[in-house]
Amino acid sequence: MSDQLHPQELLDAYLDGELDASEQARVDAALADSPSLAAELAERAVVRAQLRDLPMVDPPDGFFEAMLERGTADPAAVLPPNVASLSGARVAKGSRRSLGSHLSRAVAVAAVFLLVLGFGSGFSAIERVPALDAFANRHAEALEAMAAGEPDGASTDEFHPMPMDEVKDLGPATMDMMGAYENDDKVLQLIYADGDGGMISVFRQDGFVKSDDMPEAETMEMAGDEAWHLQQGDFDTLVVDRDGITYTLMGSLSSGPAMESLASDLPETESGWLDRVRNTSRGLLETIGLR
Amino acid sequence: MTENQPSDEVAPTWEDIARDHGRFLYTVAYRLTGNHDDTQDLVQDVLLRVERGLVNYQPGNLNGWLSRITTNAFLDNVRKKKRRPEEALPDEPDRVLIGAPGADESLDMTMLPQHVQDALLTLPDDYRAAVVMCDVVGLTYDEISEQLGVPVGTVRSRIHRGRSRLKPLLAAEHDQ
Repeated sequence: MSDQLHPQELLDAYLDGELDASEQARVDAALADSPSLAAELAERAVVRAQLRDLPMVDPPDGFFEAMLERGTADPAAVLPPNVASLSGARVAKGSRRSLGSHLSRAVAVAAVFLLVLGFGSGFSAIERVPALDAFANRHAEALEAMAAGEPDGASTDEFHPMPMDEVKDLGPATMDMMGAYENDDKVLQLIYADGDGGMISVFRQDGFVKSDDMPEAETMEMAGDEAWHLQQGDFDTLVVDRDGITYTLMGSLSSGPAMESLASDLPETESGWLDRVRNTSRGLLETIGLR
Repeated sequence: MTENQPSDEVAPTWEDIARDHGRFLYTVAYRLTGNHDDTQDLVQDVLLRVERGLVNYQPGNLNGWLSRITTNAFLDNVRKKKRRPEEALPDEPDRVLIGAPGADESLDMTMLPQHVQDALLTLPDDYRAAVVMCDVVGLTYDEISEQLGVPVGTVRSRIHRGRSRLKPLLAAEHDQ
């Protein structure tokens, strides 16, 4: 791909030492032939140097000390329990700037006021963290039942089976919906298999994603929406936020022997898994009208 | 200010990070946001995420891990703001920023490279994140690719385009 790039487009990677040998040779040759390209390289080197020479920035006095004294970064930790149980992000937003007990008390009072009155549309939107641990356990459970050829075994006390003809099949043509389940919290789980040992669960629930509690997730954009990728236990997991509905996709693509064999042949196993999940997810998103 | 540290053998505590890496976090956050108010919001958000995520931290490149969380938190916030209006409680009109720098102090702190910081803020968020991770944090393209969840070619392109946009802004200052 980079062979098609003009040497000018490779200059920054050249400065950063990020070209392979053939690309570097190509840029070297072009630089020797073109004084204007050499001048361009010099200008870019100046820009790069200015960026790299930026100094460290000191926080205001007492900024970290206040947090250390409190023993946490969470401003809600100093609020009364009933207030702390509100969305941390919202309470934190108002209090986070000062870190001072004075403002925290003011926020606490305001929050209690809103809570008692049931007032304020700012609190109406549900914001939740997908129950990733529970979803992973549930997916593993369903995987086991499917692998044993007993899809009925995926029913549990918590997840009740849904009549398949009452559930909209969200999956792409290349995957078969193997089961649909719902729990008492109205979390819908759809299970798909690709016929090649790969299985994906799609968990659908109302509410925006509260990503603060997924600190290690990689943020990405998928079809114009926010999405987060992370490894949850053995499963590649993709969380997509679309108009107040959270979709959590868990890929158990490494579960089948065929998929393990495929994985071992991939040059970059990890990104291979991610690509696989992403590609499958794109199909799902397309089918359910999110793309 | 590139800081690559060897693998830590023992996972740090949250207090270690706030005390020993706070300045690094603050710098990365400031380069991304460009002002102290948003920087303080972002750093606090990051430390909250760090506090919750430390149980899963595998000792290794701590600054890389911190910059990843910082950049993800920054991009999350940017997208959240674009997606829906701010629903925060109203700010206190007479709130006092504890320890916040005064105008003069703030100017002293950043005046020298202010034109560079201003130029950085003209970049689209995704370009700025890639440039900051490369030139401020000192990560390789592979590391940035892994941390942003985008292909290396995309990282290369964002850095190239980002610096291309900065060139006319910074070259003019440099020539003066």
